[in-house]
Formats: sequence, C-alpha cells, structure tokens
Amino acid sequence: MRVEFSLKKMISWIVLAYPIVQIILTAFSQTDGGSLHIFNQNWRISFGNSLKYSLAATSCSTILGFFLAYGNNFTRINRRFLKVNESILHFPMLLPTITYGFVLIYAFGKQGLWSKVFQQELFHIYGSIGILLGFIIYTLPPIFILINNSMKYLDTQLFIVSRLMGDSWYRSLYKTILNPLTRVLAVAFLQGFFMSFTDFGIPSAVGGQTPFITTLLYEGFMGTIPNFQFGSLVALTMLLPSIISILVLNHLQKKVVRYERPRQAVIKKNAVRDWCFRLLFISLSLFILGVFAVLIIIPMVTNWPYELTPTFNNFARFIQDDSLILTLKNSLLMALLTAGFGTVIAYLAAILTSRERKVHKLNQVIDSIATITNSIPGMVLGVAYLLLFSGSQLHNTLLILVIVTIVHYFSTPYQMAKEAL
Amino acid sequence: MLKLENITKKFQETTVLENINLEIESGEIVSILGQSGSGKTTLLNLILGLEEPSGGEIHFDGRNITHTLMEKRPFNIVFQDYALFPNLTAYQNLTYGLRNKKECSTKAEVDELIQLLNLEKHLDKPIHQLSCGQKQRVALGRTLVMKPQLLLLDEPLSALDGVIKESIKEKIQEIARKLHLTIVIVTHDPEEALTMSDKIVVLDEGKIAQCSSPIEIMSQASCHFVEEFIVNQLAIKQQNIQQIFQQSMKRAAS
Repeated sequence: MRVEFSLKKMISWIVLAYPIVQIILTAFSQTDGGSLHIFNQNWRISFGNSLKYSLAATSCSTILGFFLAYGNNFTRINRRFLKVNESILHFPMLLPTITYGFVLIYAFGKQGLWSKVFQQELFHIYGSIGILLGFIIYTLPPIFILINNSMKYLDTQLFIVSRLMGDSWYRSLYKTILNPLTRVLAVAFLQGFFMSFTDFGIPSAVGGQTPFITTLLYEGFMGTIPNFQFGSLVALTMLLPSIISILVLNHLQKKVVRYERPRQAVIKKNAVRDWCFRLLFISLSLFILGVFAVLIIIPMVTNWPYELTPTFNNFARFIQDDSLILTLKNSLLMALLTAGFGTVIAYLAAILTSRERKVHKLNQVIDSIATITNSIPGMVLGVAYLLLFSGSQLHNTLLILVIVTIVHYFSTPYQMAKEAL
Repeated sequence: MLKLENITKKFQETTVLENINLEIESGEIVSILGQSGSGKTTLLNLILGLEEPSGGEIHFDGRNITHTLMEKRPFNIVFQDYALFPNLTAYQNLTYGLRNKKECSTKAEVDELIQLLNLEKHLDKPIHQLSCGQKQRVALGRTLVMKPQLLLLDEPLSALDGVIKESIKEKIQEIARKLHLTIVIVTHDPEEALTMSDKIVVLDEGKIAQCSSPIEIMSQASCHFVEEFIVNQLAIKQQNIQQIFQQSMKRAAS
C-alpha cells in the first residue's frame, strides 16, 4: 500500500490530530496525581448542548438564509424594498454577541419591552428559546450574505433550459440552483455552526442553567479558580467538529460549478410568490427591529424598567466620561485597522486560492487555516496569542489585538470573496 | 403557424412593444432585426412564454397560447451564450431532454443529428473544452433532439467569428430545410438577417418598421429607418469590400 504524505495531511496531523490524540491519552490515563477526566459528565452535557443548539439554530438560519437570498434574487419585488430589508437583516452583525443576549432579555424578559406591551411574558427567554433565538439572530446575517452573494452569480438561463427540457420545477430548482450552491450552503452552514458552537456571549446571557462548552471553557480560563490545563483541553476538544468540516468541504470542492458567463434570465411574473417573500422579509425585519428597539429606547429613559421618563442624561454622562470615550476611540482604531488590513489579506488569499492553480499546496493550506481559525473560540485564540507573544515587543499592544482579530475573523470575508471570484 | 395579434408589452409606464401583428408560416426562417432597446428580446420572451403580453393574443396552429406556460408550448430556445450545463459532457448536454421525454428522438435519430452537426469527435468532452462553434452546435443539437415545432435563436452568431459563423449559418439553414422547422432568429446584424432568413421583421422603438423578404427590404425600404439601418449600412460595407478587392487586384496585376 502506498502512503502519500501531503503538506495538508501533515498540517492536519500537527494542528488537529496530534493534540486530539494527546487529549484522548490524557483523558484515559490514570496517574496518581489524579488525571484530568476531561470526558466527564459535565463535559459531555456541555458538549452535547453546544452541539445540539448549534445544529438546530444553524439549520434554521441556513434555511432562512436560502429563502431570503432566493427572494432577493429570483422575485420581482421592488429593489428599494429589498435593499431596506437587507440592511435591517445585516444590522445585528454590527453588535457583539453578548449584546444579543441582553437585548433579548430587555425585549422578552419579565421586565422586557414586549412583556410590558403585551402585559405578559410571551415565552420564557432563559434556556432553549433564548439560546436558539440568539444563535439564529447571530448566524443569519453572515449565512444570508454568503448564500446571497453566490446566488447572484448563478446562470439562471439554465433554469429555463431545464424546464424546457421537461424537468419538473423541483428538479430544475435542484439541478440549476441547489446543486451549484451545494458547497456554499455547506460553507454557510459550517460557518454558522462554528459561530454558535464557539460563542460565549449568548449562552452566558440567556443560557440560564444550561451548560455549554464555552461556559465550561470560561470557567477553565477565567473562572473563580482558573485551571488553564483543563481549559486548554476543553478548547482542543472543540476542534473535533472542524476535522469533520474540513473533510466535508474538501469533498464538496469537487462539486464546484464554474460558469463561463453566467446570465440572468427574465424572472416570471408571480404575484403569490412575491407576496410570500414580501411577508417573509417583513416578518423577519420586524422581529429584528422589535428585538433591537430596546437598544434605542432604554438609553433614553431614566431607569429602565422602574422610571420611564424620557431623558438624554445617560448620553450626557457618557460623553463626559473620559475613560469611556477613550475606550470607544481604542475600539474604533482597532476595528478600522482590522477591517483595512483584514480585507486586503482575505481578498488576496481568495484571489490566490480561486485563480492561481500553480500553488495548489499553498491554496490547501489557506483553506485549512480558514476552516481551523473559524472553529477556534476567540477566547482561546486570545489566550494563545497572549502566551505566544508574552515577553515580546508585541505584548500589551494594539497591534497584537489587530492580528488576533484578523486571524479570528479571516474566514467569512475570505469565503465570500472566494465564492464570488 | 404562429400568429401574433396586436401584441403590446408595457413595463410599468414604458411601452416596449406596440401593436405587433405578425404571421410566421410553418418551416419559415424569420429574423427579428433591430437595434439595442428596440424590443426584439422582449418579443422573443413573449413568444417563448417567459413574459405575458400586456395586450393582444398569440396563436399557434390555431390555438390561443397567450397564457400557456412556457414549458407547455412546443417551442425551444438556443440562448446567446448557449446555456450549457457546465458539469456535463457534450453528449450529456445533447441528450439532456431525453431523460424526461424518451419518445422525442430514437438513438438512430440522435446519431444522425450528431453527424449532421459534426460533433462525433467531441461527445465526451466537458463543456469548457469546446470551442464557441462546437458549443453552439451542442446547444442547437440539445434543442433539436426535443423536436420543437418552433425554434428560437437568440443572437445565434454574435459570439462566433469568420469561417465558423458561415458554417453555423449554413448548418441552421440545412437543418431547417431538412426537418421543416420553423425558426425565429433575434439579431441586431442586418447581414445575418438578410443571408439567413425567408422573412425579416424590422423593429424600431417597439413597432414593426417593415416585414418582408430580404430582397424586398433591399429593393423597397419602407421608411427612412430601414434605409439607414439596413440598406445604407450594407451599401457602405459593400463599397469598402469592393475597394479592397480592386486595390488587391491592381497590386496583383502590377
């Protein structure tokens, strides 16, 4: 039997397989000092919850994302209407995930805006519903962007040809829309899955008593009694799904359909279809606006939910606080630097992997990096960089933050650019 | 026979086609000729069934098909960029429709068509390995195996050059005669329309400026637009070519 040693296999082994084998060995070893029983019940429940909720929420987001992208590209709905709704759907991306948890509490909790409007709690926000809603709001925008971006480049004339050749509507949809989008749908799903699986903000805010792998990780790194070793092991077990995702994406790479000159055919008139999609856009936009409305309302009242007199004092207090302004300035500077350099790096990487065939090995490495970095929680990446650059000139600088954030968020813009090129 | 009666098409407030009356006999090759924005593609979409007219009726063999769905009409189309399935081979593209409607063509008929289109050597090739002319012939073959009663060709020669253009032109005419196929061609090129068709429908700003045979158009242009757009344009072309011929003959003689 011939054994092939490719660069990719080596990287997969060093970055993924080797640490995981180590974890398994550690977990099952019985030393006198007491082994780290990583696969204990606590880990199993937390890992299971993260897996279950991430899969459920991402499935919903991918289906919704597909329908929204379809409505955006294959209906005769007014362009301005679509543009407004698209902007509303993108809005949650501008906020950190911990905000989602809190706006959900302020919107639907016992003292929440909508509980007050309807004079009753519409549902119990802590636990399953809150987590699912949070994860869906969190993952829907990037999933929608990814699918929508690729759908724009489909050759829709093929749908007409397929229909004229006797295919049923469903078969035509499968052959000319779903099938060419298989890889992007998988990428979007995996992207959403890892976003949810590695998120700490939403489970910590609305998770209630439900343990998640990221809350376990937080306890390991930053809990009352930190245990770095245990935390690191938890983090490494979180890489398990990324192995599966790399295999899936590599398999689907063979299915990529490249059109020579994609053409947009005329979209047939269909009032029922257009109204159904209008309703979908309106209901999702209203939901997002309804949830995030509290972000605008609460700072404008004296003391939510006890004293509801309108006031601008909160803003005045914010402006007068120099430390808050400095924090804002730092965040803006870091975001600008990350966005600037990150866009250039992601775009160049995408050009390389989609257009340059000669550096096949390098392209595989970039693809693997995109998948791996996407699956590592920000907290773990942060600690890893902290340890890596400890004692160097980069330690405690803005630059290290920019570098780690670019690495953390490299995947989405890279995948988007790659699908479009 | 295809009959268009008082066809009008409006997009919101803009009238794209106005009072189009047209009769196309069975087995005829008809070109719809016009400049960009004259409404020729809209007319093609109306015939195919991709769009519904704002007014008027479309009849085919005595049957009103104005509101008949595209897939229920016995028509087929070859798009300008061929719209071939990129993940299939030439043969798989050619026989794509037979998976659903086996009764359309027998194996012998498909083989005959492949021979007629000179595609024998290219059947196993993936689409990206074919030249423009070969792709055009595969796209043409794919529609012909379905035996449509009317074939629509959207700018069939615009992506082709020189010798290939002439050979495809001949091929289309040969197939039309052999299969007694009605063909409607949409083009912006007067030369293409004149050399390929039995009848030319000249469109100007959504209205028919003239509908006659190529010879009639050249000899009796109905209006200033037809004269400018077709007759004068071709006359200038002819003069230029004649000059080059004369110069080259002089040089050869000296």
